[in-house]
Amino acid sequence: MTPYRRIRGFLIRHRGAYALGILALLVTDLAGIYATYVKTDILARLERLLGVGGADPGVRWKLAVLCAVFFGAMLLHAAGRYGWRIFFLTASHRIARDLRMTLYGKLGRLPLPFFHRTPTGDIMSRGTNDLDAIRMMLGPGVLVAVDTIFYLAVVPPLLYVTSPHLSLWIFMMLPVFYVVVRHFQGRVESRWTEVQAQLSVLSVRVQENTAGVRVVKAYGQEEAECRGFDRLLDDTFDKQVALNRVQSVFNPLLVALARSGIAIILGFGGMLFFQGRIGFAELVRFLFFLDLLVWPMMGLGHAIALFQQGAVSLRRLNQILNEEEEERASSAEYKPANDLPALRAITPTGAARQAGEPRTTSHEKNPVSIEFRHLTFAYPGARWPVLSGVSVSLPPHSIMAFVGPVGSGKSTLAHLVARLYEPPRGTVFVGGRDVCDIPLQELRRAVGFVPQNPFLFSDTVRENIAFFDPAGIPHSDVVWAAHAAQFAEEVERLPKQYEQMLGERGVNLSGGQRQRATIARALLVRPQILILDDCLASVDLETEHRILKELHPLLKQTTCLWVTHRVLSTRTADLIVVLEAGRVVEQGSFETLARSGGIFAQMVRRQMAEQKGDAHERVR
Amino acid sequence: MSGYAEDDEILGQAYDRRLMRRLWRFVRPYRRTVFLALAALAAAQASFLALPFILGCVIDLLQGAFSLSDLTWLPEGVRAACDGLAPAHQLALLVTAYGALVLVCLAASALQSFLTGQMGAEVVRDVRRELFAHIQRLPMSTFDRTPVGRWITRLTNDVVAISELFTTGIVVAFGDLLLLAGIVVVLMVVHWKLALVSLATIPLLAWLTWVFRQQARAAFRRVRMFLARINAYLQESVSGTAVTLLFARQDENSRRFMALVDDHFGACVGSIRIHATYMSLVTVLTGASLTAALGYGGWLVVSGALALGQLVAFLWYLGHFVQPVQDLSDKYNIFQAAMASAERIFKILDTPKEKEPAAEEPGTWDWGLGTESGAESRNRGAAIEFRNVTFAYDADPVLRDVSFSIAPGERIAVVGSTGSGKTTLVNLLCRFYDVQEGRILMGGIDISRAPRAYARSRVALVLQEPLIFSGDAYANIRLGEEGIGEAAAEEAARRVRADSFLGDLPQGFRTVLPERGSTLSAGQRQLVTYARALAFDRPVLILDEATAHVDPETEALIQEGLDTLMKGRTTIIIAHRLATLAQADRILVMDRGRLAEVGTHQELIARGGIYARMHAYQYA
Ligand SMILES: Nc1ncnc2c1ncn2[C@@H]1O[C@H](COP(=O)(O)OP(=O)(O)OP(=O)(O)O)[C@@H](O)[C@H]1O
Ligand SMILES: Nc1ncnc2c1ncn2[C@@H]1O[C@H](COP(=O)(O)OP(=O)(O)OP(=O)(O)O)[C@@H](O)[C@H]1O
Ligand SMILES: [Mg+2]
Ligand SMILES: [Mg+2]
Repeated sequence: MTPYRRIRGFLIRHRGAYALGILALLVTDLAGIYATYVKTDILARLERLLGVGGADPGVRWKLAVLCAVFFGAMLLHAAGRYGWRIFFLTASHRIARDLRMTLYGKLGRLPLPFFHRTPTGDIMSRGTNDLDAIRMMLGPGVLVAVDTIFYLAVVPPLLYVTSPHLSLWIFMMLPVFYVVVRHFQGRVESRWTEVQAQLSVLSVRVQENTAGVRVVKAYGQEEAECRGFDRLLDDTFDKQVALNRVQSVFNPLLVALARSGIAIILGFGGMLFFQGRIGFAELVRFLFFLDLLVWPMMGLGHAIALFQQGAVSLRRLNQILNEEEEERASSAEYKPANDLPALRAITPTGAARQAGEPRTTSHEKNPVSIEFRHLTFAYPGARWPVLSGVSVSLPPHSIMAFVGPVGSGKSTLAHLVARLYEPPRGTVFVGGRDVCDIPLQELRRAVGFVPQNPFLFSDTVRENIAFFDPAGIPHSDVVWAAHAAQFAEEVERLPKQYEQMLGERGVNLSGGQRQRATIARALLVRPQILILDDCLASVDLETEHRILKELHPLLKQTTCLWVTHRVLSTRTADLIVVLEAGRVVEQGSFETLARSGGIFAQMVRRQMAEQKGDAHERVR
Repeated sequence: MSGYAEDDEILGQAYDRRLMRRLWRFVRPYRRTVFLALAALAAAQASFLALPFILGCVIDLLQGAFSLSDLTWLPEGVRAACDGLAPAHQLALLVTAYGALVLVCLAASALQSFLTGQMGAEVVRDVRRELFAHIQRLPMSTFDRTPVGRWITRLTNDVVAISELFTTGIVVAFGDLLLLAGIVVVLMVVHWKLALVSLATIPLLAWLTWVFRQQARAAFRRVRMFLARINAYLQESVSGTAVTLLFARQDENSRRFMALVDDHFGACVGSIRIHATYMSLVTVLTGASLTAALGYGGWLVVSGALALGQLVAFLWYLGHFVQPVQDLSDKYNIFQAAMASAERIFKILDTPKEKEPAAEEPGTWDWGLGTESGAESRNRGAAIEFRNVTFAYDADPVLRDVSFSIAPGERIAVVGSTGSGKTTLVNLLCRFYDVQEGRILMGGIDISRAPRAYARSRVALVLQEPLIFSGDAYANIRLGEEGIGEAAAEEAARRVRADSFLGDLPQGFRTVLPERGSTLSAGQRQLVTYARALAFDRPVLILDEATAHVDPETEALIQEGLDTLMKGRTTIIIAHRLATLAQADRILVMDRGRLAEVGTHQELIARGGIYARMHAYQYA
């Protein structure tokens, strides 16, 4: 498949601008050629006049008129020049803008695994450097190409008309051109591909280094990082030089070919003139016209390079744009199930909202059950499944705690409910419906998810908490959510309170503050399902206790899947599920499990005992 | 998504000459290449300039108005030899000369193009190297305020813009200038009056360029600024994908991205418009020049004051005067773009590095590890003291008058409600930030008066937010430290029970983990960073909630294995779960930036203060 297919639509959409650009270009070039014609005409007249002598005042007038015509042609030339610059270049930027938006939109529809296997820096590089190369192809590239083609189409006939005999010599050079161009095309392409790939590698490196700066500094790895980066730079340099080697010969060669045409004409044209088989004016005009070809030849080399590079970059961009999107099943296989409750609760009207009171009041809630049926799941490329035969059912209005060792599959379970990873069909049910059949939008707007990694954006506190719907969520709700998450007090101590800007990933908040911000953010979804993935791990016990107490009634209005390592806090849960190595090993209420003498009981003992100070004594 | 991030505002007046001087520093090492390239260019231009001259000769020869013997600069013998030569033979000679010059021009310009390309690549490498190295030494507060995407933009796009200045910019522009000067001289020689008349537009051109300069620069600054914003937004969107997916926020994000992209587009169109206007005005001016030459020159020919061949050559030269002028204005555009990028790059280079003691100071104290025995120095560094430390990130103090001291080998726990300043203590100890009041002593030395490496080389730190780099487990545990072998890395992993899951990965320890370790569970990530801290055998170990996402069982196992290893090391443990704290010798209780309580577990319980209250919550 040619990479150009992707941009055909854009080109068609902006065909108006391109048409105008071509028109302006035609005006420019025709005016230029006409000016050349007038110029040679004046010279021819002068030649004829030479014999006569220049006393005749009429001659001067004629000369003046012709000069005026010439200047007029030049003005037209200038106007056309303005036109094509504007039309072509603007259109190319427009397409670049469209492509950027297309890329961004696409990134929003790609599944999470894509982002796990593609480094951010690589995506960045494609979204900037490659996009730029494509724009260069669509703007200056098309421009120069059209210009060159125009000259190549118009000048040869002119040459032919001027002197069929002389033009024969020129046409004989065409095959040479063809061979030269073909030869270089392939080389430019392969080397440019490497250069662009290398840019990606550089971006990835910078991204990782600056995002991980704390570790780099804490462990004094600056030197090592610089050394690693230097090696990359050396590679980059080699690739750039390899490209340069090809490109630096190409352009001069094309121009030299065009110029050798002039030499040929000078020689043979001169001979013909001496033999009286060609007129002086004819020869001069032919030469001036031929000279018109020299610059387009330079342009040709340039255009070919731009197109090669654009094609390579387009292919790289296409690799992202052709990735499979997240939503596959839903649109094709989704059958609305009328007998089941709609996932989305009825949105309360504005009037129902009052300051200080969230829109989420009990009668609007419509929690739904979650059920895992013999769920076995393996991550792509993994050696064995992370979850095997998990069967758990969470009725509406229940709080279900999941505990278990590191890597036992708790977060995976949570991710499958929200379909961040696609579960196998018939294993995960929400509200009685297979999650695979629920459109993503609907599913995710019903789920409030507090991820284990508290990611915040560099935006205001308000924007972060009201992330779900920044325009629609009133400030009073934001304040309510912050209060519910025990975060309000600290926000109010910030210099600009809710309008305080956060750094990237919320660097200017403490770990616990970040977690509470993400809890508040999830509450404002007014979810039917609330997933808390170990989201109080950095919060002190007192605050955790307050949050849980505050949230308890709210949690009871949802179906809550709560992952935690603090087993003693799970007393408030309705049911506790203990996962180990992807299997459910125990299940029951706190009291029963704590008394049963199993894994959970041991975990509880471990925490209780050590807290009483026994362990403390033991260690000393 | 910018704002806490200090805005990438449009920079004020910059001085090209100063910027150029600074850029020259990067070119200096390659000045030989530059001069060689210039020489090649001069050769190319000279041979190029000679072409129309020969052309004029041929035309005059055809007119019978010229003979090789007229060339007074030819050696006497040659002229004598040419004297009797038939015009056809003279023609052959001239054409051969023409062809030879074309070849010289080809060779010279290919060489020049290669050399400048080479130099451009070298300059890019050097600028990137220096920039990266400088970024490694910037203070943490700069990173807090700078989006990662912006670093990427600087190190890729902006550097490329500068390199363009060197590859297609300066040298070629210089060549153009050379050519222009040469043409002016030739024109003056041919007919000085005609030359003066036709070059009368030059002052106007200069004025136009001056006006253009200011407009173009402003436009390019806007373009660069918006590009950086786009990149920052893109990079943040990509790293926050999971959150965006979960909250189904794609549409809103797209809208915001669209606004940025539109701004960027607007800025681009602005710069296109300015440039197009300039270019077409330049065309008008050059048109006026040509017209003047035609009119006045024609009149001169008619009056018999100028030979026709001379006029043809004059026009030819003047025609080639036009191209470099337009070319130059194109180059000027590149120049402006490069200057806009250079400003930004120098802004980074001008950001002061992390402060280090002045060069003469090291003698005043002695931290050299080499002068002491290993154990001695280790012990010395392991004693920590905070003396009346007060610190604020922005305006409000986060720590107030904190004083405590830790004996070498002591095991200290730090507790306190979230946001009370625990992590900040660590940040100061690692000198990510410098204290505003008070002093921090390590081994009796004020760390702010020692090089940063003094404190950092004594501390192994597990950050609250685990940072994993793309790379295998070995690379993540030992980072760039060559002193840590694979066996040591495996041993460290085994101690924190990370060996089991790392070994289970498809290629075991050699499995390449993605950016941020996104395919590990949160607890696993923490364990890997924990292993890293152990592998770096340092006298002070700081665990900032290192096991917050780790289950109690695993934590207890790690603890048991660690006891022997920890002997003699100072350990600072920040944790919320009291089980984790139980092994501490002393506990520091932080409350809103103050040190509220200090003591052993029993003492603090007996005291009935904050700690006792927190403890009670566990059993609530
Ligand atoms: N880089 C920063 N820039 C500005 N303010 C910051 C920065 N880092 C932390 N803060 C602020 O300093 C205060 C103390 O933060 P710190 O991270 O030290 O808390 P902590 O005790 O570690 O809390 P937690 O238990 O939640 O991790 C918080 O209010 C936080 O908002
Ligand atoms: N995206 C992924 N691709 C491949 N493997 C993964 C991915 N995410 C997690 N895993 C693996 O799956 C297992 C379960 O991970 P999961 O995150 O569900 O654990 P967890 O129970 O949440 O652990 P923790 O208590 O540490 O958060 C781990 O061994 C982990 O390495
Ligand atoms: Mg998890
Ligand atoms: Mg902290």
